[in-house]
Amino acid sequence: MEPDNSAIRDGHAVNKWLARHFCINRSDRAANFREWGRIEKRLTLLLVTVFSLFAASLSCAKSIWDFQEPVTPVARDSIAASVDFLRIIMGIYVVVFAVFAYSIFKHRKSSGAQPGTFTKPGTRWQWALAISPFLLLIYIDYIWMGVPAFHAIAQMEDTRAAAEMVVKVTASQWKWQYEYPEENIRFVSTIATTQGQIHNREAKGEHYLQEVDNPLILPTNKKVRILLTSTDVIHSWWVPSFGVKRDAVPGYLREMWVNIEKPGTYRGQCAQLCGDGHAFMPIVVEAVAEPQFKEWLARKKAEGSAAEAAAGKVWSREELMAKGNEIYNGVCIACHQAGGKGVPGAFPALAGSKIVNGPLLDKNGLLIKDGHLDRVMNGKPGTAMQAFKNTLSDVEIAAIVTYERNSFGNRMGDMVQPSQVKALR
Amino acid sequence: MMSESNVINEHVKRGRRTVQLAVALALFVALIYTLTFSRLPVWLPALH
Amino acid sequence: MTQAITAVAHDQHEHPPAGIMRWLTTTNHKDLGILYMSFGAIMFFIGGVLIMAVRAELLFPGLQLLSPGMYNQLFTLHALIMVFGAIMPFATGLNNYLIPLMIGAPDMALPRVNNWGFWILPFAALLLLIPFFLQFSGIGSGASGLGWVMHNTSLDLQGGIGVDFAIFAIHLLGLSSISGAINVVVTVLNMRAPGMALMKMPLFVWAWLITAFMLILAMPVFSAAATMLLTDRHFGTHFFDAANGGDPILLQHLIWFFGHPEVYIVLLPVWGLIPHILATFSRKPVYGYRAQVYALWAICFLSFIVWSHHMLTSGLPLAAEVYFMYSTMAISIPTSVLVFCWLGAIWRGAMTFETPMLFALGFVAHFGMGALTGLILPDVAVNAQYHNSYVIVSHFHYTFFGGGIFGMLAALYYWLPKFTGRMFDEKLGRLHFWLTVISFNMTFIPQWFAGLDGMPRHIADYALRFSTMNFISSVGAFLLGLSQLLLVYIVFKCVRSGPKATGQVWEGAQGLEFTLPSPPPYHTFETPPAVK
Repeated sequence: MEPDNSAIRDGHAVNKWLARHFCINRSDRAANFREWGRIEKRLTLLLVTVFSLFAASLSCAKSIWDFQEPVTPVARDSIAASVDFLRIIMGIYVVVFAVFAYSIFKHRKSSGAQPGTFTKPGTRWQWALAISPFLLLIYIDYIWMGVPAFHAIAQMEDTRAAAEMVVKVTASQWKWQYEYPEENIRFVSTIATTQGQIHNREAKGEHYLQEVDNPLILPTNKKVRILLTSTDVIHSWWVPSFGVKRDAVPGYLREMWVNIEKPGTYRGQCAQLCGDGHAFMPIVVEAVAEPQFKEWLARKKAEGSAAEAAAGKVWSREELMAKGNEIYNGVCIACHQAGGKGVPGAFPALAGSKIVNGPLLDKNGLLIKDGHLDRVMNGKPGTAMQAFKNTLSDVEIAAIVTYERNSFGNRMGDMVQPSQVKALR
Repeated sequence: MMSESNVINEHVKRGRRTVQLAVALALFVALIYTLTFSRLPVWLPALH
Repeated sequence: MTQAITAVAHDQHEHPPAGIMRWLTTTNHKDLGILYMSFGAIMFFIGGVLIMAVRAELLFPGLQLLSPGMYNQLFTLHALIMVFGAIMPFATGLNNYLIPLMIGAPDMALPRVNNWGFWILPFAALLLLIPFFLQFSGIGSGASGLGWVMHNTSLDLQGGIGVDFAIFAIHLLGLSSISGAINVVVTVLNMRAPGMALMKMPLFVWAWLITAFMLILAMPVFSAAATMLLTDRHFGTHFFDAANGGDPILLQHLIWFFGHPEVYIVLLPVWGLIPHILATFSRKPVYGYRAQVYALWAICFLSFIVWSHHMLTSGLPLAAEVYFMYSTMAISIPTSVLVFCWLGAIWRGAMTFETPMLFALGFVAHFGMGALTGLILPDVAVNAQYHNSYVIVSHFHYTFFGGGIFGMLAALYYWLPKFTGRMFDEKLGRLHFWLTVISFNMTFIPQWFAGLDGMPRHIADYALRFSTMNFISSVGAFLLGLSQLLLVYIVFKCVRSGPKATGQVWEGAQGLEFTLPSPPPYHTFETPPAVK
């Protein structure tokens, strides 16, 4: 159909003004109303699809933005900023694509539109219209969101001022070691989910893959400065409810802080690809009130001195084997696998291994380079086998070595005493 | 109207310009490659 | 004069040998363009198959099909193959075929380098894939499983032979891209038809010229970083090894100095070709030509000074974090110039909606989503929540697939009749479009919400709270994979039995390539065309 341009000439003043300044030709409105019936179903389908998928996802979400509950000042700030920003970009998207949709519905050959020949804004009004989105964008980038963003970073990076206690996190493949330097407490936290659950042989628990043997205990309403480093590769410590994520980089000491406002159990996991066990490196933090935290500290210290006393006594083979079995299933099994089978090409088997079945100490009672005890205590540089003297106690090392030498078909029959390990450190 | 030899000259010149530009760009690539080994970012304390 | 030029041009080329030798020895830009594009398409399907296995593993919580090590290899290969094997070679194929036609040149300036640059690619792809297959016969520990840019330095030092193979593949891919880029720069600067001033060149040519400069500056840094990694692994240097005084963060700086421009290396050719398609199907001249050229240059410049926004959680000093946040936000300005010009391109046009136009509009809608979500990410405090979560996966697939692949598909449908001389089945093309739109959104919208809920990337198994989103996403991914098979059928049908295409192909098409018959003869523009 031919466009009816006569209406532009004798139509309403507003129409003329629109036509002149924004290239909107409203003259053929009546004709277009007839066209609505034939409007391409495809485009409606597009909008309906995208928005219904979006709505479907939203309805599956636990809240409209689906964040985990923020419990620190940093998390509250960053999530508020994130929600504001998401609203702004959705607003921009809706406005911009409403204009696109208008053009797509209106300026079609099938409804008789005549193509324009303009290649840039023509009138002052059009220039104003062309420039204004950029001014708005600059305002959004650098003032509306830019200023609060600056304050949020300054707050996030202010790790030292008024910090009331320090926790040091040392990452290793694939476990976290937590240390309270002022209290002289140190322990390793590994995944508690069983291999049976992971390989679908048992029903999965409520906190599948997000449960650990020894959670990090922190007091509520206290500014805790967290130092991070790694013994092997780069890891990243992330608890979504705390709004902080920071890489643990070997050779560097990074820092961040949390001030947990609400008691509870908070779960997260390593957020940096760190090898085969990356998915199995959860973080669990239990936030408790100050008195309970003090109580826990006292209990943990008592355990520590008991362990020290234990290191001095002579252990029986059965005691070491039982303890070793427990440690193996927590610390070693992720790589060396159940039954010491290892993973061909990636992690050596312990069953029948030359190193495990080699001599323990030389004739002077010292470590043999690359011998069994040396490997466990000092690790193998450049591999996932780390120096366990940094993370395990004397008793634990003695137990694990004894256990490995007398399990999986290895029959060395000898054992190591915690006191020997202590002397060799 | 250009003579035949002019056209051929033009062609030879263009060929020479092409080779010069290509070699210059290849040298630039080699320079960037080598510079990377100088570990430039280590010298920028603001990045640590 | 005409005769003289023909005579000069004629001694450089012979008639193509028949059969396989034609494709092995060709230095003809159209043949090489077809080879590059076919290679890109094959790799697109290989990369797709790999990620189908990944999504199958993620369908339900628990480990069903893959070991975590195998899982890491699969997503790493998927990323390397899609970026370096599929998208970049396809874009190179388009430039090979189209740039000489668009600027009125007889061929690329360096035809033999062109041939060499192409034939490196299959070997590089083999190098990437060989260790993956070797592991099944018990040799080595499989392909690299370190992520596409190998940013976890110390992990790189642990990896097996797969990492060395990947390093060599990266060198070869870099060599191929750099030689291709040099060829583009030289061709565009030296081979234009008389009267084709720089500011008269089609936007696709401009975009590729700028892309070529970015490749020339960014690629050598990646190659050098890979070389340094290789010497660290085998020759006792300690560039990156923290245990011996090296600096793991240095590798991240080097790799992202390449990695961020790489995002635009993938996207710029698409930004260049979209205005062609929008203008054609709106039957209007290109809108905001100058503004778009300047915006592309601005993005090229900015892309080199924002790299550390990929490492905002690595503990940079406060000043660096603030700088990288604000400089990254600046990219939104030239990008929105482009979006504004796309709107200007269709505004008050006389639009029809053939398949290429649908894909071009689909590109605008999805890339818009990717760009806007990118606006939030540089905010450092918010980034702490998003970094390395599925939010990022969703975001960059909206830019790479919703932007890159949608744009490439638009280009393929737009120029396919020109390449083959035959029209494709329009109905099937539209079906392909709608299936792609629905399944693409079904795949990546749920990933955004899984990420907000706290799901990290790169994990082979996930907590139960992420189950619903992963299930929807996996089903979407299978549909997306299946619907791409339709493309293969459409292209084959077009080549074998499509109705003949005219030289003009599309009613509103402009540009030198549409003044030629479809398909164009083996040698074109031996006499430079007159450009007004």
